[in-house]
Amino acid sequence: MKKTLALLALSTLIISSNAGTDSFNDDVIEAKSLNNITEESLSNLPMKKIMLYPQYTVRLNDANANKKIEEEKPIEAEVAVAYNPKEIGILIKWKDETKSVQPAMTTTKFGDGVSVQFPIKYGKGTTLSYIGMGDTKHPVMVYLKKAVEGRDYQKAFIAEGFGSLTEISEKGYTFTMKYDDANKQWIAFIKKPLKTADLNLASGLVPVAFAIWDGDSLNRDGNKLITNWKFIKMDKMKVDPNYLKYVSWGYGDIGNPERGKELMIQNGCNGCHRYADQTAAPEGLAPNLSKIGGYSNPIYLRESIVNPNDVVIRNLNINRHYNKAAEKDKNGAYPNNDMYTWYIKDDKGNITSKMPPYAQLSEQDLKDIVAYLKTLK
Amino acid sequence: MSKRQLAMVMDLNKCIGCQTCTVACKTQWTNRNGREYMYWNNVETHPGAGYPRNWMEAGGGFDQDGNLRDGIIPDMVDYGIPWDYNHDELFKGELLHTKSELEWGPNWDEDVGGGEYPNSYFFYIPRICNHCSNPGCLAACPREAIFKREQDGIVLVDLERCQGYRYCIAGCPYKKIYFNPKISKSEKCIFCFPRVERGLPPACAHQCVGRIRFVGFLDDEEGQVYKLVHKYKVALPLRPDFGTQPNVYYVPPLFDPPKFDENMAPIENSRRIPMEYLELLFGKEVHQALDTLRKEMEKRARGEESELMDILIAYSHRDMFRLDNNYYQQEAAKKGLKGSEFFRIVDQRYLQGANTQRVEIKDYTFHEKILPQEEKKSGH
Amino acid sequence: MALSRRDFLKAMSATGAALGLGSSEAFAKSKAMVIEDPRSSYPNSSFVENMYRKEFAYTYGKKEEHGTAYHCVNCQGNCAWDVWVQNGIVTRENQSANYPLLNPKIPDANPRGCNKGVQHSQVMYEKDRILYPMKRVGERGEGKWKRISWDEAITEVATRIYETMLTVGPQGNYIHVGSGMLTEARAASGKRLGTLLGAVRPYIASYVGDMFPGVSLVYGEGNIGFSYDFVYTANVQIWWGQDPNKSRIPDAHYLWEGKYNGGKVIVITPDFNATAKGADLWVPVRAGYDGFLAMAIINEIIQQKLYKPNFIKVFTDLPFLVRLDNKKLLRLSDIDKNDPMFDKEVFHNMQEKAHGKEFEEHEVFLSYNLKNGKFTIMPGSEGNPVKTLRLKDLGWDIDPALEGVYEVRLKDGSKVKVTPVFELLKEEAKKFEASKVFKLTNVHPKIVEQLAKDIALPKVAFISMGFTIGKYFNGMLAQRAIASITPLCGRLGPYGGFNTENEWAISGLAKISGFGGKYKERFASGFVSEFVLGNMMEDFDRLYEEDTFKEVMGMSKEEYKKKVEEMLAKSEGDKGIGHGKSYWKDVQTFLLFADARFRRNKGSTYKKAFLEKAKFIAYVDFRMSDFANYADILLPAKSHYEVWDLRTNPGYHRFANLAHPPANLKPVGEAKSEWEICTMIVEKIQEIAMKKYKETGDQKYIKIPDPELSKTGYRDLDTLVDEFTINGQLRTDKDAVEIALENTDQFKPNTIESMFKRGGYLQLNEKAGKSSPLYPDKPYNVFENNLFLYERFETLSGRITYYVDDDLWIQMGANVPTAKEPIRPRKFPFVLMTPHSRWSIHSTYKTSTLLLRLQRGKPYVMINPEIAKKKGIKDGDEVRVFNSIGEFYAMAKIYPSCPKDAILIEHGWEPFFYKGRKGHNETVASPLNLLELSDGWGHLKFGGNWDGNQHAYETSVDVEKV
Repeated sequence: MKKTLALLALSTLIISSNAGTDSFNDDVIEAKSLNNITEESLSNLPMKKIMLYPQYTVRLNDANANKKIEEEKPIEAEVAVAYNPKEIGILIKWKDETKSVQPAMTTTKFGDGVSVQFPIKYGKGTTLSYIGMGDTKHPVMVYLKKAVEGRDYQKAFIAEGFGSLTEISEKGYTFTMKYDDANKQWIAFIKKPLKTADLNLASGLVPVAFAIWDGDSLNRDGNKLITNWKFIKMDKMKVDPNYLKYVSWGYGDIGNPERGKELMIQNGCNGCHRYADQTAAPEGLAPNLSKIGGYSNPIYLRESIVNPNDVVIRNLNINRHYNKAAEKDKNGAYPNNDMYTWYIKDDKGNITSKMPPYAQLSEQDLKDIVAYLKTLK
Repeated sequence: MSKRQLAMVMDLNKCIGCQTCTVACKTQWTNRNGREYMYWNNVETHPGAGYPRNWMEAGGGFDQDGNLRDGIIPDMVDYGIPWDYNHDELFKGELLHTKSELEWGPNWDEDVGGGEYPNSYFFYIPRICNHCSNPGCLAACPREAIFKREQDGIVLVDLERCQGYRYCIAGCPYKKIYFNPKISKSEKCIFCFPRVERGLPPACAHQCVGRIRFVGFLDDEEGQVYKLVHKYKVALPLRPDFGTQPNVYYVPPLFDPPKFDENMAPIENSRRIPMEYLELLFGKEVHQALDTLRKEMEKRARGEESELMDILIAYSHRDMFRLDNNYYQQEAAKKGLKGSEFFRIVDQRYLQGANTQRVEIKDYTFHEKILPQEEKKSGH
Repeated sequence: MALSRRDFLKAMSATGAALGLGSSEAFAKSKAMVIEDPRSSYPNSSFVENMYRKEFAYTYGKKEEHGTAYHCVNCQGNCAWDVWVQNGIVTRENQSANYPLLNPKIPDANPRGCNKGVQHSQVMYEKDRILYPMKRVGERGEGKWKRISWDEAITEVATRIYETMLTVGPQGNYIHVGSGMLTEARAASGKRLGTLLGAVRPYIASYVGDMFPGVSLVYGEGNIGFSYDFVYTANVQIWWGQDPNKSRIPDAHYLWEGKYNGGKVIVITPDFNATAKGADLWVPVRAGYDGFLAMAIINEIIQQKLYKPNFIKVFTDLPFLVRLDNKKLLRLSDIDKNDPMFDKEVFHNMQEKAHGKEFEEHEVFLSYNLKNGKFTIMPGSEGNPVKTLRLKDLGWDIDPALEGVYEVRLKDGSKVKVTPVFELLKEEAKKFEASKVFKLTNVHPKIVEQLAKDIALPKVAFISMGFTIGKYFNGMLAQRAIASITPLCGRLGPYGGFNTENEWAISGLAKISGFGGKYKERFASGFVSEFVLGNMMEDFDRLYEEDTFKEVMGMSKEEYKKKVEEMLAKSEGDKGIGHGKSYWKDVQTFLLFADARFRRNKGSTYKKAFLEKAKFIAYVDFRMSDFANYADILLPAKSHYEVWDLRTNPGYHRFANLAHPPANLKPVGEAKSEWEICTMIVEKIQEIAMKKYKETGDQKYIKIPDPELSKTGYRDLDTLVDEFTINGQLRTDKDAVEIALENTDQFKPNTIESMFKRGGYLQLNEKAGKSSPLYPDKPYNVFENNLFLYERFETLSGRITYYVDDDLWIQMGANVPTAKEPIRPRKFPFVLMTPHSRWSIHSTYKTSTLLLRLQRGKPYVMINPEIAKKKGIKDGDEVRVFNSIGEFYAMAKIYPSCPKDAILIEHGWEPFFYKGRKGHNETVASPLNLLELSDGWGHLKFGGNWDGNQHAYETSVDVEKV
């Protein structure tokens, strides 16, 4: 996708330039009611532009992939959604100069891919779940499509945070992915029942998120580009005003980013988190916030500051950090280094985030901090 | 942290580089189904690039502070693209040739080593998965789909949950976990646990013609593995600096003829293999290990007893393996698998261990019907 | 029903990941699975565990169905294997590893096997497998074949053999079992057929160049030595021209276990090989100068008085007196028995002891007895009916002189000076004093000093000599010199000594090989037959330099050729039987089993000449070898897992192994066992002959004259089938195994069942030892009976032999052990060495994809880095190797352990691996050595112990980047 970087750089400029003046409507996708939901019928609908940002929250260990992440830029995609009482269909298009299909006999190549994510629980009284495959209190459904030679690689998962992606068998959905050589773009189309045992999407305002993998950038797993939560607005269904009010909090110019930045330092956020020029915290000690503004909604940011225990995020595999100071067991095994687990689990299995709640912050302080975090893209 | 750890010791002084282990493993596991390019067991000449090519420079493992290091994923050429031949065309009078270009292979620099004639040198290192106590592959897996078996510490990839991300390959400093493109998941040496559970040593060890491989539990104080690793400390892990605590141990190369001076006269007490190289491979402990070996050999040469020499000589092949089958039967019972085909003993010869007395069978009878297993409760 | 490669692959891919991982339905979950710490516990282990458990169970198959086998081609390693099947298809194999621990203080033989045997299951289903009888329809070698029925094929073969018998006689046929199949039971099929029909049967050990004629000269037989567990017990092991880590893979562990046990390992080879890497001392002898090194060691041993006088006086001919006037041994027939200096009393007492048996006076020899100052005859020689080697007995007490010059009176009254052989050996050895030959041998005098001590001083020391030594033109002399070292230090039996290859005494196989003495085999010299068949003198002419040859051999190339022709003239055809190296020129019909001769044979003329002379070639093999490509009829043989077979010798260990096909094994194509094939041929020949006879009533159609080799004077075709099958008892491979088990004392008590239960082998009983007892709990080594019971050796002198007074040998200065330089042309800078490969047994398994992937995938030559640099050759480059008779192309491998004056290529690559089908032997000439050709002196009479070698190492080449 290198060729498109210049162009993308441009679009990112525009976005960051009007940082703070974002509007909730940017995150709303109008869904049309259609009797006949096909890729063809959706392609006639107006497309909504969405941005996807490189995932930075956790850093993985593929040296070559990590080099590429540094160069990775946000990309733009277009989506259209249609529904009827039975089904919902989503059409996703994005430019990709380099079509990558995972070949049959190599170890180092990866295929392009796309996924659509829905929270299993949403609506009035339910807080937004963590964007990265959900969290313990907010499981999500993920539909994945990948370009793999000789195989129709499509899977449905249920997940509640990093490492918990669990394949389930969902009948009656189709997910296709075609490369349009003329326009050098991928066209993906998913059609699924509006309601299944696991997931009910019959609602006026349905949170949805998208991820795209670029094989050429060695993308796979958390190594990807993601959106924040978008909201599908079903034109013929009722929207709960409270829920709308809740999720639309914090858009637009809500505070002073500069002050927010200082507040974060004063409150010692940089002691655990890395972001922008703040890199004192050990890698992996807490989620990296460098691009958090790109894929987090304002209300989510607020929640996770005020009540971190509501969205406890699983850290990556705790075996990535051993405690060399501790004593080895009889087989020479070091204990894991607890410093790198993001939560504490009591013997009943209840987990609490290691991040303390910052409820004491004033409303304005919160707004300023969120305003600052939104600029991190 | 598994309850117990099954381990292997390989004596590099006895390794003749014949690769019977490599082929035994291949026919047992990797001659099919997308594994063709994999050598769960390979034997490489050192000094040399090894398999996959330059694996020692490919990263992974843990840094000084115990944090996982970034690594790379070798490409197919580094592994050696498994080439095929036109055998069928021999009936058309054709020459026999490969169907693809020859660029590199898993044993490409066989016997090359280092130095210059007449002072060249080389030795062999057979390598399987080290079934580490701190496995790099396991740590690297964001799916947490790689695990150590509680009962014996064997490291396995859960092929149900693996999604083929390949961070494990970058994370393993030994590059002993492989991507199977056919199923788009990672596979690796499984220490032949299905054989072990039924009374057979891993194929590579069972069939090792050089008789260099001992298999047993690290906590089995009667066993050769314990004695070589803990009692005599002559068996050392490969590249301990990678920080994964391997459970495959090597008796380092002591056998090494003297060099010649410019007049072709042998130089007394000279070594061909540079000690720096052995330090790189086995750490500083290698000096101690070689000294112990040397002293015990001298003792033996003087006609004195040496338990260490007795162990390394290994009089009885069957006694090189202590699979402690009663222990596995107990574990199977817990999982309700006792008596299932998976745990039916097929061979009586290698069952002894901390919880299992040697099954005294008359020679020759192991091929006949399986003798009843006498139960013995104890330990572990 | 025929099984194809595809079926095999399909069967195998029905296992493993593909099996476990079907649709996602297979593993549907409904809740997210959260793993807390996969290092300490894992909730989802059973899916993958059961997948691999199933996969193992598949490859293991049903134990009750499994078979046993070994992979004896020409490796002779002979190891017991279990063979596993699933649905009638062999999945894999492993060593049965069930040989007993003979002695708790000596490592057992398990798990005998190697990297080649371990993959036979993969090649037995390879696409080069010959599945059906086929007839050539294009030009020879063009690769056009037509599938025909077994009956059509057998009819054609039988007809050609029969017609040849009628028109040319039995000697027109050439029936031969090649080095691809050397086993007691299976190989006996083609040999038996050849013997029955009176067809020419060349000596295999000779033409492959694996003979030890120089050793036969010294000890009376060439294949002598120990079972390899003996190695473990030695204080000093010397491996000369050998690389056991590569070429004796199943036994190599005894070297290193022996080293742990306090033994010292010494390797003497030009290249720093896989065994040298672990040795205590590596001796970098220059290629072709092993004889010089051996003589230097002999000199050192004599000069430093490290030899054992009391031993050599009894067990060697070193005290025998030699006439200084004509260099002949002093014989009883020479001397004047009335000379007071002659010890009449001893002669008389021996006559007493002989109980009237005749003294063959020209084969009775004398020494000078220091006890009484008289010349006395020595017991034990060929012509002396007193067969003991004892020098002190009731009738005599001899302390023979080893040194001094004495005067003896001959029959005609004249007096001649005589001196013991020892003096002449000492004198000859002096010429090879270590510092003098250093320049030639590249071995520092210090090392020679050390070697002499290491051989002489310890309790147990041995020299094991490899096949490479005999592969030089003057290698026979080198073999002799090396074999002559250890006796000087009194080494026999438990004290070590000399090793080539031990052979067990296996009696009772006559029943499957012979015909109760009615027919003798038409046994031909191996190296002479091939030389003549291949017009190989042409290569000699074109490769060797006149001046070099003359300098080394002391005669011109023309003189040499004249001499060769003279000698060959004497032994040609039936009239030549008993007059030297037998060979038959008019062979024209060939039935060959597992014999890749165009891979093996040397030079650029052989193939063309052979194909011109061969009017008909029928070839039996399980795979499409390079030679198979030139056959007229191809017959598909079963491979190792499909046949019944039995294998004992050589005696690396004391076990005979059993090939026992797995139960319910699916047949591969229409392959048949060699026994079935031979039986069918015999039946067809008799049928055709009887038909002719009935039509004509003429006896000549069923009685083929063979006055020399048939008791009846004829080959009787009317009784052919009954004779071949022993009236129906011996028709199949299984019959052969059963008869061998019934009739061989050393196998008793055993049956197929008892062997199978044990894991496919039996343990030879005590009768198997030839010249030593085979103790139940001790390693075997030869010549204990000679050492302790004073039994004579099978030599003219009855002793270990140093002196040969044959005219030609005297003329060529070889009457005492000596050494001659190589004759390889000096104008090409590199000697071409073609050692055994780790990866194949000659050409067998060289085409295994699985094994080729562990090599370079194609032929490669190993070049010293410095040489490569000079020549601008990089690793992986294609190079051309050439000299004045030929060339070949290969990949270059830069190899620091290769000497700078040599190029190495592992032998065994078949021509079809090379550009233009020109293998590395295209550059190799193999002239006949006159001394190997010489025949008739004492025990040097043509036979299993006295034939010659082809010389694979007598060539030099140059190399260039392509």
